[in-house]
Amino acid sequence: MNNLKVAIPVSSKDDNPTMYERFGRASYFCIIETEDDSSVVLANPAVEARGGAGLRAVEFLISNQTQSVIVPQLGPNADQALRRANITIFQGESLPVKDLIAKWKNEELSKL
Amino acid sequence: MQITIVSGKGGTGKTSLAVSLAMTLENVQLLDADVDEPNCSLFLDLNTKLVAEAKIPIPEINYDLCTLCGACSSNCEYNALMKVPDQILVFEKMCHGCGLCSKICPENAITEVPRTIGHLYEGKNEDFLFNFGALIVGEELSTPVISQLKQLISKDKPIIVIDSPPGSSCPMVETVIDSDYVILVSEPTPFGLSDMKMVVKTLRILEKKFGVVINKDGVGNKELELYCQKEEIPVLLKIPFNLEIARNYSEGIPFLNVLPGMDSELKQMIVDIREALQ
Repeated sequence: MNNLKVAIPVSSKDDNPTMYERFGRASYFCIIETEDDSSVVLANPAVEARGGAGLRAVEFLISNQTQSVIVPQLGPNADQALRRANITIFQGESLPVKDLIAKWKNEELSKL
Repeated sequence: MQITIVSGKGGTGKTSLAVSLAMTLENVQLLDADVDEPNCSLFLDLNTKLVAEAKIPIPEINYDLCTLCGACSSNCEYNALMKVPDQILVFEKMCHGCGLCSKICPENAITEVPRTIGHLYEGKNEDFLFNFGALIVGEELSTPVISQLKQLISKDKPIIVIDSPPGSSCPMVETVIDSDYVILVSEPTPFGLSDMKMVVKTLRILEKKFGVVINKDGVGNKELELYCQKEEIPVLLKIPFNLEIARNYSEGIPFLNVLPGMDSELKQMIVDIREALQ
């Protein structure tokens, strides 16, 4: 696997947060550098959007140079936006982000 | 005179009342503005035909001019535009057609093109004119369909009766905004009262004159009437809870033709409304 920035929606700023069940309305995104496993947790500006939160979240991830996302599920708009932005989408599950990254590295997550 | 029938809760009897009221009046226009689910026509023996399409303007981007500055997407209130590295994506169904993007684009790269979201229909006989709007299935914006339906309001009709969508949000506001009087139909149940209070609040902000019709009178409790007394809201009419009304309704017969004396009660209600407006 190449070294990439991978984003995962989460609901807290904990050390090793669990993936949140929604994408656009997640409070935070945990963005992991897969080269050294360093991570930052950034507040999602789309969380209060009246509508189109998924699109606003994708725009935020693009501005943070994200190349891949691990998500629970996506609405049709966010899905289309991620694909048009050439961001690779992986199916996640409710696990701590470190476990998800380990699975991603082992190529155990399916590409959507 | 334009009278709009609203309710907070759905299923309280807006359509029944709108149709029954319109049928008692002479030289009337009935407008079914519940465009998400227009069903006045079920109670009318009228052939209706398509008269117009309801459209909203959506942005189209000219990439010969676009510099991908992102002014359009970052200012879109509805998140209908999104900048990706090599283009601006337009999400048609998110667009409310406000036109801001085309006005602020520094390169004049955005033109607005119409997109059909609904259809407008008309039917008539003798002195009865009926119009309704229907939102296309899968579309979300009923408000523009309602505002375009209202453009079909006839200047030749002395009285217009409008059946509003339920609730108290934008579609309802658009429906009542230029009405002279609003009839609020409610049922005497906790749900009916709770939703009605939101409508009362909205109508007061809009500074509309309104009165209440209590439908299914006899079910629930007395809270609704006590609330109207306390808030000094006139109760215009009570329609009893009655199995025969429901039975006829299911066959497309409005309560006007079921309850004896209803014709004169509805006519009297209009006289009372006229007085209240003076």
